[in-house]
Amino acid sequence: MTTVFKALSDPTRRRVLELLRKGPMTAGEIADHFRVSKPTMSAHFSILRDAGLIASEKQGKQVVYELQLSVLEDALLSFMHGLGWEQRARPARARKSTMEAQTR
Amino acid sequence: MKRVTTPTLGFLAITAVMMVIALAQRSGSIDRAFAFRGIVACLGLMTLLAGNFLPKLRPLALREGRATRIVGAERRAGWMLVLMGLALVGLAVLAPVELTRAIAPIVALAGVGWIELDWIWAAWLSRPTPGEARVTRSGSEQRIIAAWLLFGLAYLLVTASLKFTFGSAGWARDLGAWIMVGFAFAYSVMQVIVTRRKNCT
Repeated sequence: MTTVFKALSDPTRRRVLELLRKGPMTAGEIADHFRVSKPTMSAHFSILRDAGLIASEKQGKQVVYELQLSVLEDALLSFMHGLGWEQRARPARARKSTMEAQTR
Repeated sequence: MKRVTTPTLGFLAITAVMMVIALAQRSGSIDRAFAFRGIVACLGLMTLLAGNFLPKLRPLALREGRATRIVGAERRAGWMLVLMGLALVGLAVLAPVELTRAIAPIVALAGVGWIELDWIWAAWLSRPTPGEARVTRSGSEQRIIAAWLLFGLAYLLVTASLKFTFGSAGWARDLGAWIMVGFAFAYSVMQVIVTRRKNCT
């Protein structure tokens, strides 16, 4: 359970799980939603996979990820999402740019 | 295999506790009402455990396109089993024995029936069309184990519910057998679709 909490503690990883709720995606498709380097993204995938929250399958040159949550993990993720932790956990820089865009 | 270990061990441990309760009641160590509560609570815990791990074990295991409906069916079945489990444990611990005896079988049979119908419905909606190519997961040991766990749980829930409600009447046993046939049929329909999709790829 510690690995699950560790995996869910990061906003990027929670966002990855939210994206995978729509269906299986390739590593590239997921990475397109984030402004982080490939090694960082790969590390996030690795932590999620080790926690058993996602499963991966190699198809040709691509790695396809899909969600593999138990009901408890699903409820925990929905609870975090419902509390608006994604908003609170957004980096200050992103918040600042949003605020700047709104004031223009 | 790591994913399968916890639910399987949990299932075996709860079965062992149920056997201890049954033996204790036969030997006169605990009264009938306490044993009844214990058995219902154990069935509830077993349902809760199976429901929690069901979406992870992927007993139907399909992906992509309309197969997302099947993933949805697995997820709904998991949630339904968890809610059923909570209801059964709540009834066993909090409600009077007569009320538990009346409601618990209805909860269990309605839950199993709902999952059967939902799987048949999901299978109908996800039936393959000619020339359709989809990527599917290969069959795995974890799916086989998940299927056995599900059948074991369904058998326990159905037989216990009918016995608690109607005693050992012959027709109740027949009804239980037919419900299990329905459950096996729903699962088989899903597996036929999985196989057809594999042949499409």
